[in-house]
Formats: sequence, structure tokens, C-alpha cells
Amino acid sequence: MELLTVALLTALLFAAVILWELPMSLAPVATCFSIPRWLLLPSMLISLGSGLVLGAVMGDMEQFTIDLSSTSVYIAIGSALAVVLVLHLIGQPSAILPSLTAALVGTQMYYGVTDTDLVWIPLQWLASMVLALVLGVILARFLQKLVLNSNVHLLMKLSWLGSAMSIAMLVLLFAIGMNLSGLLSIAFQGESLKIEQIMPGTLVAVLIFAVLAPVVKNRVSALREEFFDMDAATSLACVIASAFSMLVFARGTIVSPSVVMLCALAGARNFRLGEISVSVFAAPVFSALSAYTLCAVVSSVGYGRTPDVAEAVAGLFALACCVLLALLVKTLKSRPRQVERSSDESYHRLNELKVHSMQVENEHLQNLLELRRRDAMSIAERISEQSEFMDELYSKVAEAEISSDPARKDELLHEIKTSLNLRRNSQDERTDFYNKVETLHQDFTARLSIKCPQLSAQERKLATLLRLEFSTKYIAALLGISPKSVEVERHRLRKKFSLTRDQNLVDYIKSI
Amino acid sequence: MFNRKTKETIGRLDKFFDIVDQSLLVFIEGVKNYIYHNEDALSGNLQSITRLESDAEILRRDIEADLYRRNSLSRPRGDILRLLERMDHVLDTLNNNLYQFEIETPHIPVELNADFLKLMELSTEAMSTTIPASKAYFKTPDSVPDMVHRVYFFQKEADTQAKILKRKVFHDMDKLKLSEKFHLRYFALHIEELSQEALKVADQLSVMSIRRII
Repeated sequence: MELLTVALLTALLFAAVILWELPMSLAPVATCFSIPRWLLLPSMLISLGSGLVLGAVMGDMEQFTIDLSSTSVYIAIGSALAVVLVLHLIGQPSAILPSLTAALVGTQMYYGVTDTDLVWIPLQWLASMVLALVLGVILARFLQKLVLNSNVHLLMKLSWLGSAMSIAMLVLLFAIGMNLSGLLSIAFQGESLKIEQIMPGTLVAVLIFAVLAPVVKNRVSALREEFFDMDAATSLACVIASAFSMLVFARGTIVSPSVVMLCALAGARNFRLGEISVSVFAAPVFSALSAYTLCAVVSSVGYGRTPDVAEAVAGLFALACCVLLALLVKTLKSRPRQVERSSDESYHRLNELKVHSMQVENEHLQNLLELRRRDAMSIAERISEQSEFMDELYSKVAEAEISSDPARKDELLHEIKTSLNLRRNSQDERTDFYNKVETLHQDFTARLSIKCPQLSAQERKLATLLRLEFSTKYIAALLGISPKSVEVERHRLRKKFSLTRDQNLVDYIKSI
Repeated sequence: MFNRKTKETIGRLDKFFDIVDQSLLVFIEGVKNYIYHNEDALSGNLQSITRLESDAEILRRDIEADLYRRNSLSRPRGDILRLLERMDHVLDTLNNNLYQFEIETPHIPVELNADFLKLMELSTEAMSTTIPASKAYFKTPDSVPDMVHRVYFFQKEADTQAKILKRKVFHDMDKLKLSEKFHLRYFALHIEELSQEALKVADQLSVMSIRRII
């Protein structure tokens, strides 16, 4: 392969691994670690880089010393990425490395390369997963007991766990680096690598990791919330189990760090074994099948060979199965989600309605409060005004009492009489009363105006007072007219409402 | 290096809880001094409780900064901070209540002295039980429920005593004016508030201990 193709492929693969595999491995670390933030990225880069260099120096993986053309590598990568993407879209935890390895095996199988060593790949995968699972179970129980039963202060315990977690994380990254160096050997087609050949690849990997660090960080946070919302001891157990398993199998085959971590998590917390099995088994199988099919299609088109019908049909059938399965799982998964979403929406709407009704109620209470405040103000003003009036009156009476001049006395008495008369006929209080009644019965006044627009202001007042079931005597006093005039007004009102003799005026007004 | 800093934070936490304990003792002394008309001693208690509250505030901020600085404490950080906030609120309540005695100088008839003292003792006992429970959360979370159980007991007793006191004030103390009765009820409520705070701390601790165990 050309150097540019090698560099491109390496960059693409490392980006996929860093975005797909590493966040899952680093997610439990975010629960509890003690490395200062400024030192975190450099230490991670050093661990990963040194793992990559050491892995490459130690020699390539025997299983992958196979001659692959550029086309077959592209096919393998395309198939693996497609399968992982489909699984990701239907919400399954997917792993790129097993898919990629299986896709490469698929291409090999198509070209008829039969290597008995290929059998060891799935076996080693299984062994690494079982090891992580068992270690996860043992370490989680042990660490939890140790943490709960020791009489050490919580902060001290967490500090120790944080230090242990930091070391375990660096070891894990080192092991991942060592394991990933297998990718470099694939890219260089099994040639024995020198240090000047290793360094560019390593630098590319480290640079990609540094550039993608913010994305990785966000994904780590999301995955931590989804999978690793657990105590520090269990998280540490997962990381140690995963790191140990990765170290053991680092040079055997390309092991998926995320699958190993999921297995450790399953061991530590009996977690989503069903879902893990999809990414463990389904992703590689589908990748191998789709790579095989694509190879068949490409070779028949590219070399003008007559398509091998059986191969093409088998491959297409496998791909169709894959897509159908993905769609089925998506549909099945979306149903509860839809129900959940609609329930969430209903809940949201209910909350909105509650908030709205509370706002309306608050508004109403505010209005009521304002009304009461105005009442209190008007009462206070009236008291003050009455007090002034009484004082004035009192001073006039006192003056009249002590005055020896009869003319002055008469004048004062006349003034007092006039003031009292004016007071008696004052319209202020009545107006105030009507204002209040109208405020309290705003709807009625509006309805009355619509129903009978020809009513005069005096007649509207009478109708309002009749609605309140005031007696004729009270109405007369309130309107400042005689009871007889009230009767006349009532008669006029009946005429304007066009009421018959049988109909009761008050009942009619109430029905408006 | 990390252990030294952790030890410092642990030391600050212990000191904070000790300050809460001391404030409770000062509060008890202060109320007793008010009831027995020892004005000078009361003003000394007021100064002490103010100083303790300000010390606790400084410590709380330091602990908060420590907890935020350490990545390893991200999970229990929220719980610990909430606990400290509650405790700080208790200190505020103690300080305010003692100052209310000094500012409003309620007239407490001699016949009610014993009832007020009993109410205060039960309320402060409820609160002081939360301190070993809070310390136990950090070392032996299993023992927290047992300790919290005592808080609930004292809170109920304080509640009953407050009812007895209020009933006595409104039914048996005819010579008191209504305004004085209201004033006494208000102070009974103030002291009772402490046991309510203790209840909140106990609830918080219960949840925290469960979260640690599971």
C-alpha cells in the first residue's frame, strides 16, 4: 500500500477507536480519580503512547501477518464501521475493534486464505471477556467489603481509591496502547517495524487523542451517567479487571477495550448482559458477513468475473438479515420510548397547565389584594375626611355656644345646617359604592349592556341592586330617590326587558 | 501529598462539627442565663456564639473549596455539602434565637422556667445527637440509622413538651396579657425550631447513609 493510504487508514482507525472504544474504558475512571486536571491529559497521552511504542517494538501479531490488498482493507474498514454505526443507531453498545478484526477475517475467508490461527481470535476474545467478568465479580465484592468494613474516614478512603484508580487507568491506557499497536502492524502489512517507522504512527495516534480529548470527555460523561453511576469501589474493580485482562491479552489479538470493560461491569454489577452480548457476538459476525459480501461484489465488478450467484445471494441474505434485525430491534425499542415520550409530554403539559392555573390564581389574588388595598385606602381617606369635617363642625358649634352676638350665632347655625345638608346629599360615597359593585360584578354589567343596550345608567344601577336582592327601601336610600320612584323605575325596567305579568323581574335579571 | 491534604480536610470537618456542638452548649448556657437573669453572662454567650458562627462559616467555605478541588470526591460531594449547609443553618438558628432573647426580652414567669428549660434541653439534645451521627456517616455508615433513631425520639419529646408549654401559657396563666402569651408562644416556637432542624439533618443523614451502603 502507498504511504498516504497507510497514514490515512491509521488515522481513521485510531480516530474510530479513540471515539468509540476509549470513552467506555475511561467512563468509570471519572467516578473517582486523584490526578490533578492539568496533569490528566499529558499522563494519559504518555501512557497510551508508551504502550503503542512498546507494543510495536515487541513485534507484530502473528495472526495478522497476512497479505492484504488496499481494496480488501478498505472493504473491511467500511463493513466494520457500517455495522457499528447501525448498532449505535439502534442504541446498542457497539465495539469497533472486534468488528474490524472480524471484517478482516471475512475478507481473508473470501480470498480463500485459510489459516488455523484465525480460530484463536474469537477464543482469545472470549477468554479476555471471561477473565474481565470473573475479575469484576471478585474485585467488586472484595473492594466493597474492604471499603464498608474498614473504620477509615470516607474522605481518606476515597483519596486512596482515587490514587488506585489513577494508577489503574494509566495501566489500562498502556495496555490499550500495546494492543492498538496491532493496528500499526496491520497497516504496515506485517513488516518488522523499526523505531523511525513506529514513531509517526504513534505521534498520529497521540495527536488524534489530544485533538479529540474534548469530544472524548463529553462522551465519557454521558457514558458514566448511563453505565457507571456507581460507587468508587465498584468502578475501581471494573477498571482493574479491565486493565488486567487487556494486559494479559495485549499481544495475543486485538481486544476491544469497551467490550472488556462492559464484561467487567457485568461482573461487578450483573449489568445488561443481554445488551453486551449483542456487541460481543452480533457486531463481529455481521461485520465478517458484510465484508465477505462486499468482497464478492467488488471482485465480480472489478475483474469482470461472472458473479458467483451462491456467494452473492448468501452475502445479500446476510446483509438483509442484519438490516431487518436492526430495524426490528429499533422498532421494539422505540415503542416503550414512544410511550415514555408521550407520557413525558402529557406530564409536561399537565405541569404547564398547573403552572398556568397557579399564575391565573395568583393574578386573581393580586387583583383581590389590590382591591382590598384600595378599600383600605378609601376607608382611611373617608375616616380622615370625616374627622376633619367633625372637627370643623365642632369648632363652629363651640363658637356658636360662646358667641354673644345673635347675628353671628344665626350665621354659624346656618353654616352648620348648610354643611350637614351638603354632606347628606353627597354623591361620593354612593359613587364609590357603585364602583365597587360594578367591579365585583363586571361580567354582569357587560352582559346587561349587551342584552339591553337601551338601558340608562340609572336603570343599570337599579338592575344591579335588584340582582343583589336589596329591598325597595334600601334601593331608594342608595339611589337618593323615594321608594315610589323605585317602583316606577322597576316598571320601566320591566317594559324595557319586555317581561310579561308572570315573569319575575329579579329572577330575570339573575338569569342574565 | 494527597493524604496530607485529605487529612487537613478531615480535620476541618471534625472542627466544624465540634463548633456546632460548642454552639449548642453556649446556646443552652445563654438561655439559662436569660431565664435566671444573668445579663453579663448572657452577653458573653452572645459574643461566643457569634464568634463560633463566623468560625464555622470560614471552615465551611474552606471545606467546600477542598471538596471541589478534589476529583476523587465528586460522588459524595453533593451530600457532604448539603449536610454542612444544614448544619450551618442550625448555627444561624442558634445565633438568631439567642439574640431574640436579648433583643425582645420576653417576660417568662417563674412557673414556666422549668418548662422552658425542659423544652430547650430536649431540642438541643435532638440536635446534639445529630453530631455523632454526622461523624459516623464518614466512618461507619451502618451505625447512622441507630443514631438517627434517637434524634426522632427527642424531636417527638420536644414537640410534646412545646404543646404542654403552650397549653399552660394559654390556659393556666390568666394573669398574663394576650400579647405576653403570644410572645411566649413565639419563643417556644423558636426553641422548638431547633428540634425541627435536627429532624431535617437526621432525614438528610438517613438518605446519605443509605446511598453509601447501596
